[in-house]
Amino acid sequence: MLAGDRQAYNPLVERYQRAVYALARRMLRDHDQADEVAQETFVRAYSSLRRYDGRYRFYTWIVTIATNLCYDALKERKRSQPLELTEEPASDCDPLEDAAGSDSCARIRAEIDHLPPEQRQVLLLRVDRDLSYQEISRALKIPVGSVMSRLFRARQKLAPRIKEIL
Amino acid sequence: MAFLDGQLDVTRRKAVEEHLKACLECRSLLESLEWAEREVAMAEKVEAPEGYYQTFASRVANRIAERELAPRPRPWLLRWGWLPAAAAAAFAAVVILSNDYHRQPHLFEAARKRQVIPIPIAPEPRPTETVSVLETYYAEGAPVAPAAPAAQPAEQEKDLAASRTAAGAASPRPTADAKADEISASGELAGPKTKARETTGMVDMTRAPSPKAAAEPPAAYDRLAMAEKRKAEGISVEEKADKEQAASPPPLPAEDKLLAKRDADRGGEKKAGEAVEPARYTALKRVVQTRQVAVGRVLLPSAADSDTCASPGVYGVEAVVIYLPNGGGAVPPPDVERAVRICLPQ
Repeated sequence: MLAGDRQAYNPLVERYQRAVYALARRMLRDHDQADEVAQETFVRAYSSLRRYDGRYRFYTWIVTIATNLCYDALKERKRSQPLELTEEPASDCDPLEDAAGSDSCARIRAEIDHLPPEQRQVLLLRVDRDLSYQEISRALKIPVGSVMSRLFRARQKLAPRIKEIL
Repeated sequence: MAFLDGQLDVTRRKAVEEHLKACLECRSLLESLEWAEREVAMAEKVEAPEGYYQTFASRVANRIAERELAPRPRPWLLRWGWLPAAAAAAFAAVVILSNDYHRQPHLFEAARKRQVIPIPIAPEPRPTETVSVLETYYAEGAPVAPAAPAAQPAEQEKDLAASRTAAGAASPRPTADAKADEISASGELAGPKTKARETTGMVDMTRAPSPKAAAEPPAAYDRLAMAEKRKAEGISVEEKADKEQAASPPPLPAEDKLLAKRDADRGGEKKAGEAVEPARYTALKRVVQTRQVAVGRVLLPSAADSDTCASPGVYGVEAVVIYLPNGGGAVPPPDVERAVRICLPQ
């Protein structure tokens, strides 16, 4: 694959496509933008394969690329449309959920969007439990202690609010 | 938190578990956080559109192929790096062509070395070295009436005649004296033959001296007159040196000979107020060089007089300043400008 074999790259794409798309979807709250970021993530990873450090998981490296692309997309969105992320319409709910579920689902997501950006980032990376504290710290380029403290504060804020919603 | 996320090592995890058995508050907090974590995970569950993942890998592969086939943008320097160099070359070409550097290599060298080229400016004339109003040259053998006010103070003409006489005495050409006598006798400004008036030490460039000149006789005239007088009385070595400086002209350059020949071919007839011919300019130039007249006022030719202009660039003279009597300014009167047209190097 490092020799430029695109066919050998497909298995990697299929293995991590859900996680990457999910991360982009959670951060951007929009399918089209998430799809664009997810594809671009794998394209850039392919073109930068020579720079991949084999000491870390490929998934960690992919997540770093995806996170940076999400930040860029959010900045571009703010530039063109100066709305708070929390003001995004809650239309991202799964249409298959029942009305009550979709409503609580949307409200919980809205509460998550109200968190400070640095806490929200760590919380969303930890949602799927696929990344350890060390991998999150590497992806966000912050110390492990910061990962832990931000995660704790995010959950501490959300717990009483989620209780109110439910 | 690390315990909640399973990030503790075995030893520390056992310690926390032991603590939780005894601490209700920590156990309650842990349960609350675990519950919030589950709700967040459920809320953040992402479902992609149907068939999205089946085509995702192929779309990524297509995008990679497009990127590989698309021409890569060249770095800015390679794309536009030639532009500054081309602009600099064009500018240099314009400067060289417009400034005639090929004729004046010393200027080019100085410019190249970013040196300031001093304009040759003669020192302020000392009172005793004032260049007086200059004589006017006429066509060979053709007396021409002056263009400017014909009436001239008789005294001034006498002064002019005296100076011409003195200058003519210093000239190696004997015909100058005869002409000077004619001037003093007739009161007219009759020009001597061209070749005879090449070196006088003073060249009158005005047909009608300005009133200022009429008021006070130029010091240079006095100087030469005095020199002649002293000659009769036995001049000093210094005055002798002064006269020698104003005397003996350098040999006529080849170009001057050609121009003189052209003058002869033309017949040499001049109208009143006509510009000085190149041959006369040659003499003027020689005077300028010998007398070290400073550069100053630049006289530009008119289109009508272009055929009578000689390019001073050929002779190496940049410009000529005309000192009015009494050392005043470098602005010649209009009649002087009519009398002399000097082409400057372009």
